[in-house]
Amino acid sequence: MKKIFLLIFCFLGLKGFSQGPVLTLPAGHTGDIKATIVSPDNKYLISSSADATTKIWELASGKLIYNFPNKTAEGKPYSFSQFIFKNNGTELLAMGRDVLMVFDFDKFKITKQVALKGFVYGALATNDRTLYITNQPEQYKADVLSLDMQDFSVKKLYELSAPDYYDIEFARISLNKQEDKLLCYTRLKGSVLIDTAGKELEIFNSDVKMLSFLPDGTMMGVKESGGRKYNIQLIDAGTKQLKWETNIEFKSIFSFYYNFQAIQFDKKTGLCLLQSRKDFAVFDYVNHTAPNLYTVPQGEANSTFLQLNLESILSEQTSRARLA
Amino acid sequence: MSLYAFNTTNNLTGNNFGDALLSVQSLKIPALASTILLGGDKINFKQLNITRNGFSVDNLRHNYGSNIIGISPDGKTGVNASAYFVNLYNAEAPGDDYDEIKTPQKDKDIPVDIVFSKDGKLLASAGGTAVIIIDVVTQKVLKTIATGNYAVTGTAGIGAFSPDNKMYVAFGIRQEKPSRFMACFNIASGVKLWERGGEDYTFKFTADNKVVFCIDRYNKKALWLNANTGELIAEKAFGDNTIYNAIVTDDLKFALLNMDNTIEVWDLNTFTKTGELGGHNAFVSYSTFMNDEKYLVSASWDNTIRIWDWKNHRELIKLVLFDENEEWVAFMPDGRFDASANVLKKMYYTRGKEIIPLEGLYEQFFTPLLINRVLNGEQFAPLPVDINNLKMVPKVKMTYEAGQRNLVVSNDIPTFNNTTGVAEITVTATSPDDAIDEIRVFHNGKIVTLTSRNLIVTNDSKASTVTKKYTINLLPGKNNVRALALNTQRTESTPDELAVIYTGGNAAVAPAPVSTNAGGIIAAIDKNATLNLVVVGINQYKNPKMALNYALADATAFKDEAERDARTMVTSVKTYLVTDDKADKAGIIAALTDVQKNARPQDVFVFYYAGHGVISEKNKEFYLVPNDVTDLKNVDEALELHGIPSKMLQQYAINIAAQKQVFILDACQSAGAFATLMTNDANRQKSFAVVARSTGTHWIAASGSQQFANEFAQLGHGAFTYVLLKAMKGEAASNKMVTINGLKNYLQVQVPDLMKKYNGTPQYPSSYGLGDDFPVEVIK
Repeated sequence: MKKIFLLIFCFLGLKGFSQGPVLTLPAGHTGDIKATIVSPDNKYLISSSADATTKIWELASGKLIYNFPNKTAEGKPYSFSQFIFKNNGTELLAMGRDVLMVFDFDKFKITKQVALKGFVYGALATNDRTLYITNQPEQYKADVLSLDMQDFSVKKLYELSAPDYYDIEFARISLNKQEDKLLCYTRLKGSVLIDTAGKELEIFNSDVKMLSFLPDGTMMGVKESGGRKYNIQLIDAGTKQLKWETNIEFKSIFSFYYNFQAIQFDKKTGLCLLQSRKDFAVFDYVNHTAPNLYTVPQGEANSTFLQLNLESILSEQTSRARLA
Repeated sequence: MSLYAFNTTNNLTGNNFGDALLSVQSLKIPALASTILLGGDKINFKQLNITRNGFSVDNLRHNYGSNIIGISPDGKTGVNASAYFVNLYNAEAPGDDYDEIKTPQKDKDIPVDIVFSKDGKLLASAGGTAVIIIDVVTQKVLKTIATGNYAVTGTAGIGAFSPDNKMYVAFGIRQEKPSRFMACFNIASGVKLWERGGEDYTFKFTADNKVVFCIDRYNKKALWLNANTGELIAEKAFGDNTIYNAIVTDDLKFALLNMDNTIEVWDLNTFTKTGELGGHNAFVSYSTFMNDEKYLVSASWDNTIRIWDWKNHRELIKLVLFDENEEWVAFMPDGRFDASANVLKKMYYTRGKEIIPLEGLYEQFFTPLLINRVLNGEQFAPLPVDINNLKMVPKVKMTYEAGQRNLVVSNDIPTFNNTTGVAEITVTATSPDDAIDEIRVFHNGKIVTLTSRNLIVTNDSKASTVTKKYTINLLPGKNNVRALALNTQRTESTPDELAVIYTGGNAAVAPAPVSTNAGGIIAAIDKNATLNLVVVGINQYKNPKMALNYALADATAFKDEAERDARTMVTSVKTYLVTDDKADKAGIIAALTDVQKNARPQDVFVFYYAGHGVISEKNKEFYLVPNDVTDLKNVDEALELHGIPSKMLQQYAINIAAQKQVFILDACQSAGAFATLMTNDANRQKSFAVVARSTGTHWIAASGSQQFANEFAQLGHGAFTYVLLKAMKGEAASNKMVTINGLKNYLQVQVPDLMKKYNGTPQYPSSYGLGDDFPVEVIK
């Protein structure tokens, strides 16, 4: 507990935006990028990196406008793994190891901290009411938590124990259209469907990995077809019937284990983006068009750190891929 | 690492976030020269040159190179080392040439540091299991000292020569105990004299070679050891905080300790902390003394390099460098800055989420020769604007009501078609918490004259919102219109732009601009345009003491060359040669007025001046000195009557309709104290910079402290014009064309070289201009 306390102490020292002008150097990240989000007004991009900085960028110009060091009072670097905007973009929730912080996004001041146990992997919010979080409170265990976004009380919904797998985690969490069921995806142990009270409804552990609900309530599964080929399946959540399937052959990919955590949906355009290592695929999940493959401009997509809340990254006009 | 954003509605085009700034991995400064060597995080390194007259950055990279660097105490020999090679280069003319010395290193013996002896005769390339001693003069390996069975290592300051060059002391790590140790070797024999355990030492021998002083960074102690035996003479503890790096003055009176974000100053006699240098926003990785220990230079993970007056615990300069180019920006704590030409667009201040571009602060905060002047001890007057209390940046918006927006939109600049040849543009400028002081409208890069009041809104109409209408006479083809506004603090808005394509009437379509490889645009010249050439050269002043030797020759030669060059492009050249007894204020103004009467927008106007120039003590403004000003000191009154101020040239730049204008000033300045010359030169540069910027014209000027000295008799010209003529004769050509920017670049490189050859120190010409580039000669 001492560590958490120090961490919080350090953050209280953050003054937020300065009143006078601050010379801001347009320095890019020098470490893997761990989390990104775009503000609801589509003006700002926030990125947190293993280089122990969180940066706010002006989206249109690409200019860095705020750079703050993620260092605890002990000088230990950390980064955020999930961001969620609240209250029409006036508040930003940032989650990392052991903690959730609430920032006043106008002044970039910390207004609240909530102690969480372990590393936060997945997070999603429903209209400022409830925040669902997946974390790893200790090795061999993965939790799903719900957090009241008004009073910040935390409730454990579901706990998965995997005695044979120390690094178990729910890498991705998604909500159905009625907002009463949560699909929680682990990389190696299949997926579990629970209701929002935490009751276990169904377990998926076939060779079709059940990745996520789509915004329209359809479920998306992926099957390895060998090599760099993947079979994407859209499945009706009620009947479990296959609605559409498509195949993608990536130019480069590590393995299923590492990939497809980076999934983004754009409700406006009906596009789904699946990120690989040096390329990403985009298809229309509403009109069912075949995927287009895009190559990342340079370097490699960072597919070893995959805990992005990617729905929120896709905003009206812009989607993002994260590169290392 | 890169961060990209992809636009889903625009075929997923990517947008990159963040530039690569130099991440300093090593820092070396010679004891006796103002040169700073910085190793980057790739195999590149930079040499920063602070000369008497300017500041420049060389981006260097050697084959088999690294970021392990060194420089001799006299600043003449630079070193870049890697496994197997130590490369020596001439640090006074850094470039691609270097001498390679093959070293007898084994595979793992990658050097981690280069250490010079105090006299500069020896250098040590240390790393792995060897310290290789090299004779700098003969470039031969003198001795390879084996240091034990593991690695010589450490961050910096891992070794030191004794002043008599007989001993070398090094820090190392090995497998057996004590695993971290220091050892002292006899250089001639390679024999280890003694060793003792400890951690990450900073070493310094006393001048009598008898004592080794060191700072054990891990155990936070200062140690005084017998240099011959290693026996402990004394030790003292610094305190509890981690010391990441340390340096010591030569007389062992002060130690400067890097403690995370701050640097502590310790008096070693009283062993007390006497001060702290705070300002870096992240870990300070390296620091070194400069200018005989007068200044401290520090590099930090916050991507800034700072120069400190460490004795007074004062930050002097903050320097920002980019990874892959030679751009730089320097700031004073009060917000004054100086920067290389291309960097202004990249740098900015933020206030909350508001972005204040550095360009927007140009008029108040731009300070030429900043680094030289600060290190020269110049005391700057307080600025009229407090950087911490800036008003909001004004905004400007242009509308073109009559026009129909062209459906084809390129680069987000609204484009309109026009058939009348006249465009009515409305500019609305707002300054929420201040008033609009000025609106500038540029047509094809050059300011347009629409009112006799040169666009400056008069006091009575100062308001937070100003709307003005402008009528622009279009040239055939594409016309670019740009507007910007300034508030009373002279903060500039981000410009607003639009384009009007005129295709009506019987006007011939103007030649299309040419795109260069470098990405710049070269505006083509209409072959029916006229070159208006005003050339002033004054050798004979009314006061014979002021006579110059080469001004007239320079002017005449320039006129001939300019006319010859112009005929490769245009059919009509109109020359006004104003020399000696004709070159009084009235004579010069008559020529300018005549150009103002006749020049059309498509024409070219070139103004050349060779003669005296001074900075007025009273208003710090630059004046050309016509032949009837009879003294160069205490002449404010005479200048007002007979001189030609830069403001007047600015007014002609505005009033002369020619959109392509260049002012070339080879004006020598009266001799004076060096500091005054420097300040005057800086003030003069600032005058030109502001005029060039506000009018969209090009200005090229010789360095202010340059003399038409006798040493140059063999050239027959002043150095500046000598190089200028060479450039115009085709040496500055690229793509079969000599352009204004080509001229500027050529002068920037060649003038310092020539000045150095004949005068000993390089002097830099200054050139400013945001107007479109254009050719001055086409080579058939």
